[in-house]
Amino acid sequence: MLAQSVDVRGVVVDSASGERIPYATIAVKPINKGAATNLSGFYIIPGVPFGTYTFAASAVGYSTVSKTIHVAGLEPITLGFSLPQKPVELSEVVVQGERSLDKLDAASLHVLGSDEVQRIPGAGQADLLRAIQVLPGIVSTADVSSKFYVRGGSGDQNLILLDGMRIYNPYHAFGIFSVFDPDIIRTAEVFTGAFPAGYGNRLSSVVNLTTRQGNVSRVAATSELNFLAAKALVEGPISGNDSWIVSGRKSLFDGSYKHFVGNSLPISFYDLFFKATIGSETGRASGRGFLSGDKIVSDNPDEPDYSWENRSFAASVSGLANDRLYIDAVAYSSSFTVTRDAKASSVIRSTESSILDNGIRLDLSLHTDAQDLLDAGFEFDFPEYDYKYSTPVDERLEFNSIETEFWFWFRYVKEIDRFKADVGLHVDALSLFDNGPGIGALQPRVSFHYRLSDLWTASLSFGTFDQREVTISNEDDIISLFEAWIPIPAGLKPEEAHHYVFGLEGLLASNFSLGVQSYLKNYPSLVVYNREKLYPTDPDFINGTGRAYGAELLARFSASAFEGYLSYSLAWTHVTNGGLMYPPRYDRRHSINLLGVVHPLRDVDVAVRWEFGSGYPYTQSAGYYDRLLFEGIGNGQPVEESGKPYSILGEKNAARLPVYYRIDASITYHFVLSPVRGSVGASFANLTDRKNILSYDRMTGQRINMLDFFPSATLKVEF
Amino acid sequence: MAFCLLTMVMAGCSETFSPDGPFSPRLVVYSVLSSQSDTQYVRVQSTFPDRNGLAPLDLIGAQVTVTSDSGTIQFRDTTLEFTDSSGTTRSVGAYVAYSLRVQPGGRYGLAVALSSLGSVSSSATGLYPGALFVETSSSNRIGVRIYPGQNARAHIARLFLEYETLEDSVFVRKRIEIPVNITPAGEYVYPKPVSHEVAEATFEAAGFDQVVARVRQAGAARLVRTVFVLTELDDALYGYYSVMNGFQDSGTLRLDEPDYTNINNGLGLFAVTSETMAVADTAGH
Repeated sequence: MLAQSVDVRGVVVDSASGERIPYATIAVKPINKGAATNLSGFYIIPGVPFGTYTFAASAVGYSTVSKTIHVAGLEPITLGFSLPQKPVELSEVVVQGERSLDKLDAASLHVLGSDEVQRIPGAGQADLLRAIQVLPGIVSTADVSSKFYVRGGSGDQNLILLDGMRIYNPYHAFGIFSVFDPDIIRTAEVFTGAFPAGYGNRLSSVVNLTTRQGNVSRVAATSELNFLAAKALVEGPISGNDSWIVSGRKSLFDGSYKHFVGNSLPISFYDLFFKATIGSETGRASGRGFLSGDKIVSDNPDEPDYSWENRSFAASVSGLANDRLYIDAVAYSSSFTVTRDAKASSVIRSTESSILDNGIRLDLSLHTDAQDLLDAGFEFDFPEYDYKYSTPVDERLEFNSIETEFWFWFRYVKEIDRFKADVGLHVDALSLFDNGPGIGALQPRVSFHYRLSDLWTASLSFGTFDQREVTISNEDDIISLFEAWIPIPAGLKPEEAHHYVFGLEGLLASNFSLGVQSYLKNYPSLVVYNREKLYPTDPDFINGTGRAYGAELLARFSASAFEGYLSYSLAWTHVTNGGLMYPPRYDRRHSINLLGVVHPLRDVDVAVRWEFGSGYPYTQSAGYYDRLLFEGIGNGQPVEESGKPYSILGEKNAARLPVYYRIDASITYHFVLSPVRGSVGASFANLTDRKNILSYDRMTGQRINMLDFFPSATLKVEF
Repeated sequence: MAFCLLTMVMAGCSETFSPDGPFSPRLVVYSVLSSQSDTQYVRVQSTFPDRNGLAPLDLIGAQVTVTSDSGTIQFRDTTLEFTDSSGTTRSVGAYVAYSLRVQPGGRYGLAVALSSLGSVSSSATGLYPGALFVETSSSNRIGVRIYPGQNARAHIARLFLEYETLEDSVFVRKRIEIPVNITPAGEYVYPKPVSHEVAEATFEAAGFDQVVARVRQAGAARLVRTVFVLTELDDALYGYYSVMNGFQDSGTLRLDEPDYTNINNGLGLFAVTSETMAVADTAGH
């Protein structure tokens, strides 16, 4: 029987730089077929019947390009698209009949591009991890921290990947902003729940960052200067479709940071990213590396110094293994080291912690005639944890552990008429061997979508997740400068979570989208401090439980010169530790983000962001008393000692801090002075100088507020 | 809600904040009964609301009793004066009983009542004495074997040098503790409470020798003897001490600062210690 159909495949690229565009959509008119490009910008439409069709490729921020071709023959047809950028106006919410970034079929998935990140005003400079806090369900407990909490999950439950490299501590300078320069980011996928089967060892979220490959057409450079840092980016072609990119940042003007923490504290940091990509339309290879370092050095000999470093490297190969099988393989090595030098402090001990993660990952995607997708893969990971510390008698102790992690997964995506099922299974293989085929080892990840109409989709998702490594930071710390990662102590169950998500999203008008979601996260197992610990032989940690649930709303509106964005979350979270149930300190009941971007003139952007959050929990002081330490036991009468004042704590986290709100604004002028183009802008963080409380010293009564009014200027030049 | 939002948008206000919740004063009681003496003390204070204010003085006028198998003993208030190593004298208000001998295995119930603060209570059990023996004594270390009492939870094995100095033609006996070891930085390390499962203690001879040299240098007339003292702690005292001192766990990964009390309806500690002595032959040092 002769074939009556053939596959059409290709890549979608930026016409100026040659960069591949992920999440671009290709629609085949007039038949009901189409596809979206993957993170490598590659698409495949299997089984297109012979005939003449118009293929239309579109992507957010780009003009649509259409090509009419005659489909016939025995060999797959390669059809590439080169999309020109639209003027920086707005991200299109949707054009009826096409899919866009906002009409993705995965519940709890948000995708941000670099342009979107850079349009969100912040403090001093654009930042990815601060930008994602605009999304519903994501909160941060402090202006000075880009550490984030997703749908009631703690800060160490988020998996952060940079081109497949794990980044364990993605924060600069206390966490004021992240280590990720927005200019190197191509796409940021943010899963806030029920993420698919290919991700594991985290309970709450996945932030999957894909970087740019570099300009394949010409050598280009960008430099930027603001009150906090200077950066330079250089990129260019190697040959053909091959390219490279290098980007670095360095801190400047240490005094600027006192706006964030109220004290002048010398902070310095750097980050460096480099990548080379070679290949063709159907396959390519890439090598990349990422380095970042931070130092906080105090002149006071009684105050400790801190430093931390990320070192990550990866090599990957991706492409078609046969006509319909796409392979993505990556080998990575990531390390994170944090050091606390106690210097002359008599109360703080010198400590060093590191984690070195080496692994390989293989992902196979098979497309079928019916446009189903079969996905399978595995990942081997060998994390090595090292923790060194000094005892009060200057004895150096070390804890070292090398673990083995092995996961594999299957996923099947099937679409029939209005119904779409995404059914997957993530298997924690070592848990399977250790504990048998229980729910801990076999982790279903299921999503169902039903198109109620051409404009509205309902979705229902469920997934189970486990996690085998945690940080030891005290959850009550305002800012944790020493984040040590450890494997879950022997004898404790891995952390586990079950997600249930229901969502409804669609269009109220062609330029007005609305999405609502409700979620429930059960934590049958968490690792928490042992509240009953007394003796050295008692364990530091025990298993606890938790629950988080809530509802979210996300609305986007766009017009010719205006874009509006509203997110709202209503959430509850509680943790149970040793029989005591309490809300953790990142439990925020109401969160509202209102963002508006206006283009009053062709080359001028004005952005305003208003953020509101109800107060975080805290534990009230219930009085003070003098606490004897009994240091002289057996040497006289212990009750003769003088006591030390101690703050008695009331019911844990039963009270709420004042509400938080902040208004940020920015104005940017884009210019072209051939051959140079660039932008100059001013940003104003905390425009109303609202005194949002950061911390309060119970013993001294000193209050420290978060970021005060902070104006900044930025100059960016591109060649 | 809308008005609140509008107000916040229009003005950058800030609110006063206090971390203090409702304050309800509570009794704070400390008492460690010792088998070494028939004189026992109880200290009574209260919590206070003001972090900047002075802590209330030790409270007087409380009803303080300890009940045992032999009856109930009423404590009376007194003032104790202590002079520390710098020569500073402090006064501490306390309650004292002069005829309370702690019996091994005896059960003791503490009750403290003050009309304005209500009442608190606690209980403790007298410790059976342990024993210790000098096991090894060589040129560079002194080893001690410990046999804790059957209901002791922890102990401290300490070594003292007793010597006499001539003061105004009178020999005055003094005692100075020998460290467990001396750090490379020259700091003296003294023993801390350890679990009853730890059956031995070791003292570096260098510490002993240094102390002897210091004592002689200070004009000691003669060295009298060296004495081992085994101080045993009950559950409550060991738990309290551990929590106050970072769980005594040098390997702990914990970063918090919890509290501990065994006083019902109050704060503080009621515990028992016992002490055993053994004279050591350290003539070789």
